Amino acid sequence: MSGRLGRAAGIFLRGLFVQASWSFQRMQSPGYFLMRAPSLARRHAPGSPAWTQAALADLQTFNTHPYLAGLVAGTVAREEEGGAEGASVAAGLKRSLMCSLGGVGDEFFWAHARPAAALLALLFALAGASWAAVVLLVAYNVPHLALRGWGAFAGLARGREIVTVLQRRPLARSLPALAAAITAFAGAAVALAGQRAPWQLVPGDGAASLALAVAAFLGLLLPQLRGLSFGRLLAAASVAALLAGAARAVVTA
Amino acid sequence: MSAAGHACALSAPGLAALLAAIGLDQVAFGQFMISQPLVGGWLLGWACGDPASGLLAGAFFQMLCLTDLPVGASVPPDSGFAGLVGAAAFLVLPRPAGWSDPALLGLLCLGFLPVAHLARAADLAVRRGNRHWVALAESMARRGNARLAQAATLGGLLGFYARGLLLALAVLVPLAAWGGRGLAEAAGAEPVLALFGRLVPLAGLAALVAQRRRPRWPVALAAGVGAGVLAGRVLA
Repeated sequence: MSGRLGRAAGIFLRGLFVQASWSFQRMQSPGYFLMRAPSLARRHAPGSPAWTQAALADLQTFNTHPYLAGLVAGTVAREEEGGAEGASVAAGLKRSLMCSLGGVGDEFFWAHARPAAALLALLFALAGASWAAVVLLVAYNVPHLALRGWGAFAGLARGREIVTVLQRRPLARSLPALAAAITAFAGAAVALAGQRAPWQLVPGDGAASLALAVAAFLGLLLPQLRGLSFGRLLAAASVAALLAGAARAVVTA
Repeated sequence: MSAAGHACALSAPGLAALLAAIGLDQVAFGQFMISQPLVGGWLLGWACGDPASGLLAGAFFQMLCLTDLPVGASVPPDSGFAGLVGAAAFLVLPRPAGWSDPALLGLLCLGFLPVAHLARAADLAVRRGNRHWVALAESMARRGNARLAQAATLGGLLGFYARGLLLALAVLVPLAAWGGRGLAEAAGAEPVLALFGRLVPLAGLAALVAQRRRPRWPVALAAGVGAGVLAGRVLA
């Protein structure tokens, strides 16, 4: 148990660098090998022909969500302990897990957990909390680090049986709640920004500024609901602000 | 949040070096979200001796990059890094007379999209260059050298760090040298840029709501606005 815990800790720590040498050619493969190196060294003497063959196989294209790469590495290591048959299962598992977990992780962490944590912290910042940034770090990293640690350990402990846990789609089930939280937090941020300095549109007048902020938000939301991208909106607004600012500076000078 | 004049205790190159180290969190190491503008701006503010200004600028730019979504191997414009650079620029630039914080942030926001696209181009260059580390790792594997992963990792980290450092230097050093000269004379532009600086975060929030909406999203939005109004009243 403690040996497995130590190995999982190794995968976890090495997994923090899984994208350090990300390339279009092989994506995360050097990082994946970094996680796998201790397992490989347990099976084959480093430098031996079998080790070289395994290392080159690990350096083939690998890409998944970085937080779940440890789960793949742990699962593969566990299966390889089953001899030749296990090694063949491990190769298939590596491919199928990396593809499916990549999509799951992107959807959960990048599309939902990150904006939700950032918005929660923004609410504290708008309320005047000087430690708001800590809220983001805690709200995001508690689930992030727990999942990374669990993934490495559960992969090593369960091997291919981890698939039964993943089939319950534990991350996907929380997405509707996270999406609702994101929308609600955004609404709260609009209301707070409308009432708090220095973001008030009518400085000093809370009610008028609040009404204006909500109206402006809805006015900016509508074109984006109809398909206008934020990038284009920002680019157009930047050009308009630049021209209007320059014109006003010239006129007042 | 409020900020009264910015006089960064750190030189522009020093701030760029720190910013590049924080930027490693984006891809190369950890992804703990230290590189999100809200956190990174706050940390840069601490380094400058003005965490309140760092948090203010970080919060502003954070609202512009809530919709960042790198799916799979895609590399979108790097608004997170642009936000970090924007927060650092806010700390480096002395606030000219007659300019409010939202106006100065609005002014800096004009450079947000170009920096985001430049950062993306630099990111793509580093990722393309990393193929050399893969080739090195393979050649080391063939020679039976077990240090191959460490070598590739170190090489990649250096590449991503150099990318962040060069970009940050390219923005912060000229900005610090300029020092906002002439802005006090151009104070006529302040109201326009202040309005822009107050509206842009609302546009960022709207973009997020538009992207992540699910059935019954107006109910969640209305509930959030109501809670925000109550919180604002309590805090007032």
